[in-house]
Amino acid sequence: YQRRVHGGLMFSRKINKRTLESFLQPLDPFEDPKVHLEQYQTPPDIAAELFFLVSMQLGPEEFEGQRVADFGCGTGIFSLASAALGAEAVHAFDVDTDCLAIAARNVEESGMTAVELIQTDLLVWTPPPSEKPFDTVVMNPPFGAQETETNNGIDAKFIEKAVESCSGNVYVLLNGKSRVRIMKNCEKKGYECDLMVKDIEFPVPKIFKFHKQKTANIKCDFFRISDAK
Amino acid sequence: MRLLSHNLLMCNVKGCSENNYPLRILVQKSKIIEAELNPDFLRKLVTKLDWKGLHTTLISLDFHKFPEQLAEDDWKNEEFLKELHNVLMQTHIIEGKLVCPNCQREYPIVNGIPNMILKDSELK
Repeated sequence: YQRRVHGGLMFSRKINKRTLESFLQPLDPFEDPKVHLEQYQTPPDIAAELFFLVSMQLGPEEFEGQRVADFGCGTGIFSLASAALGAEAVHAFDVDTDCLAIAARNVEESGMTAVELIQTDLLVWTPPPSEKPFDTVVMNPPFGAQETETNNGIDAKFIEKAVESCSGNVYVLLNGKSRVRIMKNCEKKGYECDLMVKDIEFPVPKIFKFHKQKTANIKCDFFRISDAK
Repeated sequence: MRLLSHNLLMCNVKGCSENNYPLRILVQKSKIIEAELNPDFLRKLVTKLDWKGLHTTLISLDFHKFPEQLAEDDWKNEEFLKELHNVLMQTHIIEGKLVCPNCQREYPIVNGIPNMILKDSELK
């Protein structure tokens, strides 16, 4: 049973992981992923699994009727999953013109008018001076997975920005190698940090000539982080 | 870009720290896309916003019907809700500019997406 809600589809109370996955499946992926921005396509089944899990464990009210932000939206998978779960507004941020064009196409074709796109560098963007604008933040920030790319703690900076601008939960998909560093960072900042899923196999292309395989699976962690204060 | 997103944006140019929010809007092309009215969401949204700043923005866009200060009664007024919903949630700015009231830096809005990316020389 589906009900049309402002141009989008709202799923019935019995949120089905499979229907969410089949909604995300036909979305356009990156056409020419930029390695320096670490643009890795989040597989629809992983996105559906994680969003379904949040809905089940924390409740549909994490998204339903809420104002959500997607930090580093890429082609819009996390944004559209949020909208599909009933978010009233989704603010999708990314720095790259090309992937935003793809995200715009995905938003248009899926009819999810709740999703708005903003082109900005999240390391520069600051939340407005009044109260924290977002109810929930979702993100899949740059992984630091390519050996020649230094992560420079971008993932931690994205998390800090998110917690600064969110009154509720921040959901992050991270490179497993970052686990200890991020957990320490959360402790230092006084954030609540809940490792919801460990060792998710995420396919990432390898760019080096001496690597035999074209892609490798990076083990990823999915966290729920919030301001405990 | 709707006013819903506009309230998230300020000018982050190096040295620009006062009077850099909200940004002025120059509309070149806009359209209305209907969306279902959700009064609870609207109310929650507005209570988190700086209404004075929003009101100034609305005046600049020729929406003169809104009160300078919000009262409890406004939320019971159907007309008010519909008008507010229309400007915040249904009016999409497709082409235009966001301008910093302090340093006058212009941020383009192209295909409904505001571009806030700064040049290296503008960064702190």
